[in-house]
Amino acid sequence: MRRVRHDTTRANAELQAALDLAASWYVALPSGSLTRKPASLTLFGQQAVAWRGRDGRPVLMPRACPHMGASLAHGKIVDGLLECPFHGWRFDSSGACAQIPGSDHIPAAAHRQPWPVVERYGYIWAWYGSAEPIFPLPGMTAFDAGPAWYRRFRFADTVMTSVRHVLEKTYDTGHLARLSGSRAGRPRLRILTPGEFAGDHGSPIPADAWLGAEVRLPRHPGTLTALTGLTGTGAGQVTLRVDGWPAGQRVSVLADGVPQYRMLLATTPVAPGRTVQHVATAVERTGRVRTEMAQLLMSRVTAAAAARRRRPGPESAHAVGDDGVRAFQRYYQSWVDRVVDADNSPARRAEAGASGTDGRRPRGAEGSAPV
Amino acid sequence: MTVAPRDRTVAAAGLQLAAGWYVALRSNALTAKPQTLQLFGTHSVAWRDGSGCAVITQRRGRRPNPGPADSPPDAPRLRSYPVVERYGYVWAWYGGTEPAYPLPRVPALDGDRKRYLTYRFSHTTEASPRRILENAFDFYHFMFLHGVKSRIPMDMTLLPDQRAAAENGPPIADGAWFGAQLTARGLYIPQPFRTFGFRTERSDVLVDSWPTGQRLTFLLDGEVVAKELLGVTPVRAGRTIMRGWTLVARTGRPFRDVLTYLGYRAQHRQGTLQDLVIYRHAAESGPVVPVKYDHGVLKFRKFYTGWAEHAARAETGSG
Repeated sequence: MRRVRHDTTRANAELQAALDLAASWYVALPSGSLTRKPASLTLFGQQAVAWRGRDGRPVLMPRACPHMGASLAHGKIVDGLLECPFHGWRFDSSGACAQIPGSDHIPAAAHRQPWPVVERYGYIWAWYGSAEPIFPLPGMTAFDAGPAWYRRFRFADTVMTSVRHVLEKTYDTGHLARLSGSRAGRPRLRILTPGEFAGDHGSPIPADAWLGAEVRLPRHPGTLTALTGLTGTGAGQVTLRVDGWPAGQRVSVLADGVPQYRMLLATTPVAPGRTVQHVATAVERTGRVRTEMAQLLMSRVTAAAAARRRRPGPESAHAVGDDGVRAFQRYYQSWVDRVVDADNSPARRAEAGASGTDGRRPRGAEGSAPV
Repeated sequence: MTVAPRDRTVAAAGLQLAAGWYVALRSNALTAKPQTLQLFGTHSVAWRDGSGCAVITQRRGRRPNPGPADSPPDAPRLRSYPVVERYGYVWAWYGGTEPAYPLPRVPALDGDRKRYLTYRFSHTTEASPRRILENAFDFYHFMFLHGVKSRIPMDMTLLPDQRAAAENGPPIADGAWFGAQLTARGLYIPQPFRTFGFRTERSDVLVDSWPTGQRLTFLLDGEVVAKELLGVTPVRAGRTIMRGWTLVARTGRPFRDVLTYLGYRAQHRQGTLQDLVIYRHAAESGPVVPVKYDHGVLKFRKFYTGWAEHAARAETGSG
């Protein structure tokens, strides 16, 4: 048994290294895909089950029942508890086993440690890297406001690369130049201090979890500037204002200082080398439907192009001569380093729970973290 | 034959197989023409030699020589598995060059099969052989997963002596036997069957297992209703074929026998499909949190692990 645990711990450490993830908030799945039935998903390289507890709040925890390893995702929800299909063990939203048919004793180790989760902006977000979130999920005004104020849409693309690679592209001026369609040189990117950031995306992200930048695309005609012509703002100066947390970004796109749209870029680390990038776009309602639709189209076109260009490759090559990428990589790595070691990963904590040792949340603790 | 134990051990390491007799293929699928098959996580070649006997060798390197049957392919480079052909299957021994125990007998299949209505079954699953075999000792899942209902909940007794399961057949070699009796009182029988007089006060299942297979007898009020032989084919890690025979006893009342046969076969199929769904998505490794009713599974796992260690020693030549 000790050898099995040692092998599991080593496998977790290897998985953690291969994922190369920062401690942060990630999209687990879209809210709409979690209904009254439990859902099976692969997240952080692990098999997981998502389900809704008695109060409708989402719960995300390892998929294997601690009893005999059956998939809890193939069970059902009974009286707000997740029931295993094999022997009927039932789990509450803290991950603790609440009922075992045929047994009046519930072992203390009958527990699956949930990931901290928050449901917001149409997504269920999961915290990775420590038992409790180090910072709250960043807010975004455009997605908190009602539909009367913004037109919104969202989409997702699966890319065969890492979260780090997906997110650093925002700071890669070569990538942005190709994306904008301009052949007249690279955009100018300036890493900002929190005091310099002029955006109004939402509540400030804690300073140590924040990285912001302003990107000015060349004035010369390109795809992106041509698209702004459709919006009625003309092919002027396109500026991106970015402020992000380690696993996501809030972006405003402006043309000649006029806001075009806002984007929320987030990521789902499925497994090493496999990431889903989620883009949610919001365009402020102005009463000019044609302009708003053109702005939405513009955001979709550019995001799709960005997804196509986020191909796996020699990731370190992007840092050469690119201060923005280097700044992002330093920042990202500092949050990779804040991930507690594999022995404290959710899988390990579940194992620790199964072995009867400490390392799990107390029964009755909330599965969702306050934001 | 040349022995290459290291190669076999490496390939089968992920399977953690117990030493024992495994179904390699159906007898009627084997001809004089060599055919390749995947077994124990490696590629093998099977054929009938000049005297019609089954031969299974591990394939290494080149494809088998498609020559005449009496000139085995690449003989110097291959090793053979000990083989027995019985009950319509070719059984291969895994765990060293010499079998540690003979393939257990199933008298119902050896004798006059006209006493039974029979069918074969075969299902492919992601589960390991151990998970498939331990299922018979997980009596609680019969009630929850398969919905078996009875006035007094089913219980299971691990048998201390093979004589208690003598209905299944002659004794299995010492140390290679693991047996249990599952009992339910007041078993619920669906209405259509009750209409035809099916009633029972006590129902029993006698399971006796060797490390890689099982023979079972189902009794209602002490009368044999059906028997089963379960064997497994470990194709590779994550792919196992579970197969064997079911024999439903004839009583001399043809209409009742057909009803019993159809009812038994339907519940067997439905139960197997439910198990297969569990197997498909279950985690094979990781810690287990047992409760009191898991004693049979845990003891079977210990029994199985002992024979897996035997196989590992035998395959590396140290045992």
